Amino acid sequence: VSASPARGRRLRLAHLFPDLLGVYGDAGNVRTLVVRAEARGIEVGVAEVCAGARSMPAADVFLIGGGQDREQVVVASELRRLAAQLRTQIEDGAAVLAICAGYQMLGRTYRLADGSSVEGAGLLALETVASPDRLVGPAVARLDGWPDEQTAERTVVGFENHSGRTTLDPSARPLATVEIGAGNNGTDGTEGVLAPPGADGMAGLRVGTYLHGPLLPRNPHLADALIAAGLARGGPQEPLAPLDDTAEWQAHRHHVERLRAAHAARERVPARLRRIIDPARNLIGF
Amino acid sequence: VWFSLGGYNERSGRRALAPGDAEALLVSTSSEGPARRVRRAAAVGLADATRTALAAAGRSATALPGLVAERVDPGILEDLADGLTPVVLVTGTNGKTTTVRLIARIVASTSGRAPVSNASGANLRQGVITALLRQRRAIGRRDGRNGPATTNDRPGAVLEVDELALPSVARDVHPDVLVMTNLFRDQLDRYGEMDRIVETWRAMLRSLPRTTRLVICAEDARLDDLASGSGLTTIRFGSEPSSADGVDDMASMVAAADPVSCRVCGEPLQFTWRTVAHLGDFSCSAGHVRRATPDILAVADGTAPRDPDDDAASARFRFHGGFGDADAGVGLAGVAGAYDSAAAIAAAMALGLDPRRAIQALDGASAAFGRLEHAEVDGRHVVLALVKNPASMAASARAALHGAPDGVLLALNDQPADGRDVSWIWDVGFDELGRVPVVGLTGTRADDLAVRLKYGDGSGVGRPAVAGVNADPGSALTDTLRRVRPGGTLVVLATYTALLAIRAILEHRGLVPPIPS
Repeated sequence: VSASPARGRRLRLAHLFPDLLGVYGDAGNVRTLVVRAEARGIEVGVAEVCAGARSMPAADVFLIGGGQDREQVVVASELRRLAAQLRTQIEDGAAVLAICAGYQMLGRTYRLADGSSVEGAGLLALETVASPDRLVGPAVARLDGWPDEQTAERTVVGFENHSGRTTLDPSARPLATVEIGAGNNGTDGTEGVLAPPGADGMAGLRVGTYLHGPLLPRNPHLADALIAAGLARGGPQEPLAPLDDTAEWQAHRHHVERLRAAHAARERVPARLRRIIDPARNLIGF
Repeated sequence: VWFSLGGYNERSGRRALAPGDAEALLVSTSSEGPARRVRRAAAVGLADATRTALAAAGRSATALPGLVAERVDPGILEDLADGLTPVVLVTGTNGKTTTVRLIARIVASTSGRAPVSNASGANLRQGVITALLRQRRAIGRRDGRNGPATTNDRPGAVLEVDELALPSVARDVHPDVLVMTNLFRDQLDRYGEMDRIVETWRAMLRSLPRTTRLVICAEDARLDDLASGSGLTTIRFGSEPSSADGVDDMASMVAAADPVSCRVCGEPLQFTWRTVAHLGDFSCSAGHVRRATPDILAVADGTAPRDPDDDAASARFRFHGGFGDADAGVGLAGVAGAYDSAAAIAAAMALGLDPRRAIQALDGASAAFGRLEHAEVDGRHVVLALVKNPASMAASARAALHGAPDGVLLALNDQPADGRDVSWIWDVGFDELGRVPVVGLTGTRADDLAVRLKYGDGSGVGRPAVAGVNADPGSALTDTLRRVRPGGTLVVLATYTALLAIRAILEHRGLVPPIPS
């Protein structure tokens, strides 16, 4: 029996393809997990998996970020090459956070405009279709069936910038319901995907989402859920000690309030008038 | 066709229209003959009226007159540019305004006549037209008529052009020299992916007259790829790191590199050194591409200690090229100053000017507004620096930190002109800034800056709590200044609209000159 519950706790993070992805600040997600885990006395190791890596390292949490179309094709082929090793670890309870391009590429397929398809890793039950329109803007969504009982917070904030339209399989659960923004496809009101943990605690938590921002610094409840999930691989754990998250929640709530106010003001203007006002506002920069 | 390349129509997403759409509305075929002349006169008259109205309302007239003029006469840009020689266009993510300023200085010094330029940084199509209309008016007044200048009296034009506006502007103004400063990840919410800009530019370069000369940064692999495929004569500029402007001593301030992969094999490029973000000595491990030796190289000779009585921070740059060596003292600091100076000399070389004369002309040049601009406020030195993206943030912060400032005010807004997505603050180091004794945070996204500083970079412990979070730029400036010792230095790193707000306060107090139009 260890003297301190913190002693010996270790968290292994794997950051997938930071050399190919990562133009959207998603490295901030890794930084957030490191700082929040270390603040609880947890020893953290980060493995960066770059293009051409011979194997997938053993890890408790896998993170993959967003990127451009060209790099995305390389990422897809790298993920397919290493998919079996990743699948084994996920089935063994490793947690996953996949953002934007990473989210799409962990799905089954990404169908391009010319009708051809890029095959994904097939680890998430979803498909994505390219579209000429980009869905760009700040987003607020409400978490659905969030498994972590430690927090009462149910909003999630971020910034989305994607042309792909993702549709979840009927069996898959969305991460959240869109309040402001477009989400998975701009039509069905879903945002992201959530593979909830199994009966043995948080292990196996898989989160896929279009939300950059980066996601975790302003959504500390999601960050802690991923840390708890990673630790749960080693067996049942004590709940994480709370941290002083005043700055994080201030940023979160302030942003939600601003977006709701702007959204409400916008909704008051008829759509026909908005088509005239918006370009004029953009022209003068406000 | 060019108008749609900006891509706003295609990726308007949730908003109905975006800035470049105004261009799309303006396309129409131009007519000839008397009707054309009437149109032209009406366009110029309406533009003048717009300018007068804006001036009466106390607003700056840098874009709207051009918009009005082109609405009336869609062929106006091509006609206005027709009387100008030489025409230099400057585009790229960072350094456009400063590079334009330096090239204009060189052209003015060598030709004895100041070229027309959009010094305010209004760099969309309508901004370019507005600048050319203003020049036309000035010529008209001096010549006592309202017609175009005579052949032997043609001024030159040095114009900065927005990355997305470039194809349509280049098509109409037929540049003699096109300068591409660099291409960093910037405002992805507005520009979309960088690859999109690259492909748009690739098509544009193929359509330019074969006599056009291209000037690019030798250390930018994307620009190198574009230049190689363009078939145009290309002058390359570069800036190797020196010990004085060391990369190692502030490694954390080198912004995270945007991923750049080899155009042939798709593998990530290798670097022996980098100056900022992805700019550096690149090569592909399979040998497909590598950095070409620059035709002109600028190396910082060290930043001179700032004379408190002197308004401008001055740096000495040493330039190497086929002509030998020469140096100049320029009021521009850091790696950005070195690149902008080298770009200006490369542009002069592309114009067939003597590089030694160009370097002489640069001596004594000062920074453009908000580009490490100095002011004295309440007995303290204030340095104003515009930051737009990880690369400009890293370059400005490094340059500013060389002076060991007593305080720093970070101002982050998320208006369209700033970029609505502020996630880029996680792709640049903040620990060095967090160690400055006084830190103030402001702007609509000051809360996000507080979180960013709290989490740090891993090079040390982040600041757990930052005093002075204040969303209003004016009171934040006052509060932060008060915490800086008298005679000390406060560095203000601000996004576009935040910089304008802070500068407006200083301008109102007569502490900085008005922004040129």
